[in-house]
Amino acid sequence: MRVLKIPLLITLFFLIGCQNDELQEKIVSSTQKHKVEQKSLKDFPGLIPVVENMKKIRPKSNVYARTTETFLGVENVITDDIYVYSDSTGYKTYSFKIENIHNTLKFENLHLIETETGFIAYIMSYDPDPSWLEEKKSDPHEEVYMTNYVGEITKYSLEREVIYSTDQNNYTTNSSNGTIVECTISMVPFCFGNGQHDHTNGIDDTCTALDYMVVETCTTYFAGGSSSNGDSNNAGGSTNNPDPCPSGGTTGTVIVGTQPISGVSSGCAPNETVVVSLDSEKPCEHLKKNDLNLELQEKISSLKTKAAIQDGVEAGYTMYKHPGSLFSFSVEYTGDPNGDAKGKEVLLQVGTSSTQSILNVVGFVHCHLDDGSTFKVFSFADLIALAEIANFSTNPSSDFVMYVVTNSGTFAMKVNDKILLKSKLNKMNENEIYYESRFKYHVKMDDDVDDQKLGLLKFINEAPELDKLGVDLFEKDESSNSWNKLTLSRNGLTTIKIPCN
Amino acid sequence: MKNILTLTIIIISNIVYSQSILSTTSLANQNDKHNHTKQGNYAMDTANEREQYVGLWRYQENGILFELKIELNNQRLNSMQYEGQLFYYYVDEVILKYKLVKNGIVLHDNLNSPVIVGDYVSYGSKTANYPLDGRILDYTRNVFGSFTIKRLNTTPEKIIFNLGEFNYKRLNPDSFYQAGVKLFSIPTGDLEMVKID
Repeated sequence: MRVLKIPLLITLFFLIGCQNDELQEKIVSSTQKHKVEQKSLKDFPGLIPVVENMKKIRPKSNVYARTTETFLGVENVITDDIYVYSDSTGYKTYSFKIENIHNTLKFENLHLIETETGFIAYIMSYDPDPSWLEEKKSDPHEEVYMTNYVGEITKYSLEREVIYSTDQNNYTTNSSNGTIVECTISMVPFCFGNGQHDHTNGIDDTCTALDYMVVETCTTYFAGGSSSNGDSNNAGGSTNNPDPCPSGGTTGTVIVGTQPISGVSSGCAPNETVVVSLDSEKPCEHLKKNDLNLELQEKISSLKTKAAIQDGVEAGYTMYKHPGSLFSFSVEYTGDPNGDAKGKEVLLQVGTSSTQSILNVVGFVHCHLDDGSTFKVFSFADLIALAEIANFSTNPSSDFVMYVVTNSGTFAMKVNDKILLKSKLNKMNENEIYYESRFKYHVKMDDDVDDQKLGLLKFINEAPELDKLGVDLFEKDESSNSWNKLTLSRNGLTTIKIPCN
Repeated sequence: MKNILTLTIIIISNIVYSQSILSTTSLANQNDKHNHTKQGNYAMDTANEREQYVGLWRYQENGILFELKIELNNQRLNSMQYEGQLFYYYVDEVILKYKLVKNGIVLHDNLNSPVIVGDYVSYGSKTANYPLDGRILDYTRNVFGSFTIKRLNTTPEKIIFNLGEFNYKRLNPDSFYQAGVKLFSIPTGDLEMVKID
């Protein structure tokens, strides 16, 4: 499978001009509107230095003494997938995911609250109850997870000073500056009729389909009294501390211009409502959830039949993601049976419509032939194609997937580090001949599928200049209908299967 | 002072761009399969398996004349530069040149031309338990394809050359490859070729 370059470029050019149409506007009531947009940091050039400065902040050393839990570094903030909330106040709040690189259940958001003089920034950390998470895993509609959230919530400054925590095991309720924060998590319905966001009519009789967005509103009250755990520069809140804001305020790290100021300060923010952005899904959960998609399963089954045809051609479908975890698929693309023009390989093609475009493309499902004329596993060109998708799409790492189906098995390649994979794209393209040469020594078309799996893992793991590429490889166990992650053994001589339990 | 500066530059250059052989593997040893491309390795044709393919081979049928010249290319350097570091390995390979005539029209002939070492040199290698395989550039269509060559134990000497119809790279813009025109000008599938030189 190869990437069709020209349509990709045309699509990108076309959609840059249309991006503002891709808004997700929600109607709270007939008189009070707010708007949530899913954007990339590059859409807000003025915010870039603010985010860069925030990434440089490290936890205060004495913060570590207060807890043994593992913090997620602010440097792991995802900038391609920002929720921007705005309402009639005219002030926006920006919510970023922080990528969970520690493989814990916890998920964190960094919120940037616009004020008259700059911003107030803080981190909300969610430590969900395992049983709640189990329930979440069995529910294919991720947007409803937060409606019955069970678990702890902790609010931090950028320097990881605890401002507020519900976790009584680790913290007292209030922070050093004597505040109480009340957070309300609610589901806000919005119209998702005919596959497009409805900007005008709200939720009325014309709305053909509803979707939901998680919205959190936190308000900080000045209760007075300092915590014995407090150690911030602003320690020692007082009952005499006047509430500086008419309706409370919010606390966090104050940012003046683009520069964060050390310590926790209370501040006034005209708009304190932020959007909760759920943690990136783990690859196994994502694959299992995709297994529930009947259309995807039908296409995989159909491709398996095509893979078994002697002297056949490759076929495939481009995958697009929509709100509510919905997928749509392109028409079927195939290679040319006569070997004309594009040849017998299937090309990754990306649409240019408002619902299927380079902005929401998340994957490709295709077949390789099992007659020895193609690889039984992913080819090097497939790696490049997945990197191309990750490069252009605005979706987070966890959404990207490439499936390949052969008579020998069904494989999935998941992106675990979009930024890393994107950074390797140019290098792979520029040195394709070099990499193809390496690839040919590890993966032979004549090999059986087990040898090809081992060879592919060897290639991915041992090309040092590719730094493991930021992808993981999975194989479907057809007998149990479950997925296994494929990794190299420690000595690099065998493939290890780790079940997706 | 100038000499010291020059010497320093040479030493630094040698450190940065050193291409010395750090290890060797045998292409005839199946256990070495995944070690050939290790940094600084030299994958050697210790069993001299390439020799049986060397020569000029001909296929002539249905108005098509296809002649393939296979030459040794010892210790070919495969390398790329990345963030100031050179990644490299050596392999004993073969180089392919060909002449293609269709209906009396010569489409390509570089049999007697010197090989221009660049990105798209047609090459192949023979590893244990596999046919000779590699990549060949179809100059007419500007497509880099994958091939295998199997040696037959016959008299006269013959090979089966197979240019596959998958795992290729088109080098021209998509608009160049129009419907109704074969992607490859070189015949695809199994071609029985006789040794003529």
